[in-house]
Amino acid sequence: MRLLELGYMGWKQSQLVYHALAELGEPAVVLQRTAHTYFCLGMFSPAEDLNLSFLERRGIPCFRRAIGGGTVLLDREQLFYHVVIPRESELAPVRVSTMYRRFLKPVIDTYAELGVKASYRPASDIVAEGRKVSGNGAGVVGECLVLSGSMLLDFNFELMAEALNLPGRLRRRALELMRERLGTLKQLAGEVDAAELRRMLAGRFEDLFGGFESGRLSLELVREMRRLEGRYTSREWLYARGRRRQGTLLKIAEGCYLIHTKLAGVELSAELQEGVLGNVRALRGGRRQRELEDALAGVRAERQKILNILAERLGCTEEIEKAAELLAGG
Amino acid sequence: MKSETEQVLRVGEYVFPLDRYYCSYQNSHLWLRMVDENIAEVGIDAFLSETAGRLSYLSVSSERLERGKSFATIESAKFVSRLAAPVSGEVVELNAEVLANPSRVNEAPYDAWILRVRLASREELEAEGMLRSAEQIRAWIEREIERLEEE
Amino acid sequence: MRAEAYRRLPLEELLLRAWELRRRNFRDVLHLSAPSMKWYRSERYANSPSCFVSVSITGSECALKCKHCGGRLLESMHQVRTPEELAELGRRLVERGARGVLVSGGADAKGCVPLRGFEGALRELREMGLRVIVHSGIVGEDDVAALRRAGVEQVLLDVIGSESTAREVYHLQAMPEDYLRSMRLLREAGITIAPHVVVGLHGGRVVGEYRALEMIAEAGAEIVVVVALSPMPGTAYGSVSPPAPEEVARVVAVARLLNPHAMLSLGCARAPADKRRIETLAIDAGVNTIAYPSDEAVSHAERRGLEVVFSELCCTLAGAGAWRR
Repeated sequence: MRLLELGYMGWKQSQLVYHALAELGEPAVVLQRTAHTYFCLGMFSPAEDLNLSFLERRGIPCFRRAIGGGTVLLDREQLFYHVVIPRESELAPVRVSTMYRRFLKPVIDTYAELGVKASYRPASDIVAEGRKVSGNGAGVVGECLVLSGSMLLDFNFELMAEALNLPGRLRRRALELMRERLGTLKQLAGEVDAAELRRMLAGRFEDLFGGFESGRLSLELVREMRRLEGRYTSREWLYARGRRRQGTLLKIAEGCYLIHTKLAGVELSAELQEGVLGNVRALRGGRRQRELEDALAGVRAERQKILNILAERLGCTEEIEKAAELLAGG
Repeated sequence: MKSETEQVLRVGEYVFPLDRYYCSYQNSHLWLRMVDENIAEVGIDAFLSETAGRLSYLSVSSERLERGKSFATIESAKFVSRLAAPVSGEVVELNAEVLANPSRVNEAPYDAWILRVRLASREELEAEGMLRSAEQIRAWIEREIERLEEE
Repeated sequence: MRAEAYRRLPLEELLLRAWELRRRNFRDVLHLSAPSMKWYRSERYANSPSCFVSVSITGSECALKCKHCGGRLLESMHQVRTPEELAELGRRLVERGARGVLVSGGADAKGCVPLRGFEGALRELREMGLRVIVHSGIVGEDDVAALRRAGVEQVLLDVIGSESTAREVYHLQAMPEDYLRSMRLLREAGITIAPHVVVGLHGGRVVGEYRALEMIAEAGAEIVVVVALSPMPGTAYGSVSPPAPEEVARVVAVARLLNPHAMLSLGCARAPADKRRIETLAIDAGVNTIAYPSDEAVSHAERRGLEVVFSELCCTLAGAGAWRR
C-alpha cells in the first residue's frame, strides 16, 4: 500500500489521479488539494443541477467522476483523500456501508484528534454537531474499489448556492440550508493548519492499513492520467451521462434535500428533511395552490403516498409519476 | 401474470426461490430464470440487493451480453458498480419499470427482472458458477455470509 | 357415520354432502394464505419474504430423516440452535415487519421437536408482538406444560393413523394412540391444536389417513389441515407417484364431514402437477382455507359464490375466528 501526498494539483489532475491508480490496479491512499476552484459531478448526477452558463461566464470548470455521490464544489480550502484498493483485496468489504465505515474511520479519528466528535452517517456523510462535515462518493473503477472525499477547512457557501440551477428564491433558501446543515473545521475547531491536518490524516490511514510505502507521481501514473484525460473531459462524458429527472433534487446533507419541479403547469418546491416533506410551495400561473401545498406538507416521503396526492389533483401521467419519485427523495 | 408458488431456500437472512439459477461466477449475485425455451430473465439476488443498499440508479449499457463482461451499471449508497453478465446472448427486452425505479430491486429482488436475454448457448447454464441446487446455493451463500461476518 | 363409511361413498356424493355442510355452517368466504415459507406471486397477491416465517430450532439437523422429507423442509426455514438465537432472530424479524412465526425443527429420535428450554424465548417472541405457533410432533405432559407457559397460540402436529407408516416413513416406534393422546393433552391444557393429515404419506398410498381423521375428530380439533405428499427430489420418495387428486379430495371431504365445525384448510404441500385439480376439488369438498392458491382455484371459488380473502399468515391463522356462521 502506498501513500501519495501530492500537495496542490490542477483541477483535472486532482480527479484523474485516483481514476488512473484504479485503472492501473495500484492500491494507494492519496492526500492532496486542488489549486483551482471547480465543480465535480457524480457519475450519474444530472449536469442540469448546475447553472452551466454561470460557470462558463465565471470560468469555473466542471468534472464528472466515474464514482458515485452528488454534485460538489471543490476548492483550495479542502483536503482530499482518495482510497484505492483492488476488489479482490482482503480489505475490500462485501457490504457497501462497511466500506464507508471502514475507510472513513481514519477521517473520523482525525476529527476526534481535533476535538470534533464526528460520526459516520449512511449513506456516505460524516457528521458532527448535526452538520455534514465531509461528503464522500465511491465506486468500482477498473478492478479497484475507490472511495473519495474531502474534509472542509472552509467552504464557499455563496458560490455553491449561486451556481445552482434554481430560481433565485430557492438559491437563497439553499444557502440558508447549507449554512445550517454543513460544518467546516473553521467553525468547529477554529483555524487548522492544513499541513498539520494532512499529517494527522496520513497517520490515521497508516493505522488502518498498517504501514505505508511513500510514493510519488510515477511516470506510468502520469501517462495513465493523460490517457484518461480525453475520456473524462469530453463534453459528451460531462453532459450526456447524468440521469434524467423531473426537476432538481439537491442534497444539502444526508436527510436534507431541496426539491424543485414543474408538472402539469404547476411549479412546485419543497424541502425533504429527515424523510418528511415541508416548506411546500405550489404555484400555477403565479398563484399559490394552497390545497396542494397543505396536502403535501408533513407527508412522509413515500413514493406511492405522494403519487396518490399528486394524481388525485393533477391527473396520473408519467410526468407526475416521475415527480412523485423526485419528491420521495429520488 | 400466472400464479406461481416456489420452494425457497433460506440461508441466514436471505431467501432464494429455487426456480432459477444463481450466478456465483465473479460473485456477481445475479439470478437467471428461464421464461421460455431460450429466453431468460436476469435480476439481482437478495444478498446483493441487501449488501449494496438502496439502488438509486440502474442502466443497461449493451444490447449483447457476454458472460463475465459488464453489461449494466448500478448506483447504491453513492457507490457505483458494474454487473457482470451471467450468460452470453442478445438482450430482447428491458424492464422499463425497474430501470425507471431501481429501488424495486430492493423491495422485491426476485420480481424485479432487469432484462430478458436470448441465450447464445444453453450450455452456459451448466457452466461453472451457475448454481441450481439448494446444496450449492447454500454452500456459496454461507461462504458469503462468513465474509460479511468478518467485516 | 364413521370415516370408513364415508370413504365408500361415490366421490360426487361425498363432495355434495361436504359442500352443503360447508354452506350451512360457514360464511361464504374462502381464506387464502401465502406465508413467507414460499415465494408466491399471482394476479391478486404477492407475499413478502419476512411477514410470516418458519424457524427450525435444530438448525439443519433432524434425527428422523423421514422418507418424504429427508430434512429438505428445513431448508426453507430460518435456522437457530439456542433460545438466545431464537429471541435474537425474533428481534430482527420484527424490525423487518414480521407478523408471526411458525417454530418448528427437525425432530429427535422420538419424533418430538425438542422445544423444552425454549419457553422463555417463545414468550419473548409473543411479547415482541409476534403471533407464535409451534410445530411439535408427539408431546408428553411436561411438553404441554412448557408450551402452555410459553403462551403459544397454536400447536401444529402431523397425525399418523398407521403404525406401519410411523415405522416405515418416520422411522418411529409410535402408535396412532400416541398422537391421539398428544392432541388430548394439548386440548385439555387449553391449547388450540391444528392437526395435519398428509395424504399419500406412505409412499403415495393412502394407509392411515382415515384413522387419523377419526382421531382428530375424537380430540375435538378446532382446525384441521390436509396436505398431500409432494415427492421432493433428493428424498427417498423423490420418484414415487403422488396420490391422485381425487384421493386427496376424498380425504378433504371426509375431514369436512367428520369435523363439521372445525376450520378446514388445504395446507401448503401438494404435487405441483396436480395442484390446480386438488385445489378446485378441495373447494368443492368444503375447505375454508387454501395455502398458495392457483389462479384457477381463485376463479373456481368465486364461481362457486365464495368471497376470497388473502392473508400472509399461516393457513391455520388466516381468517381464524371469522369463519363460522
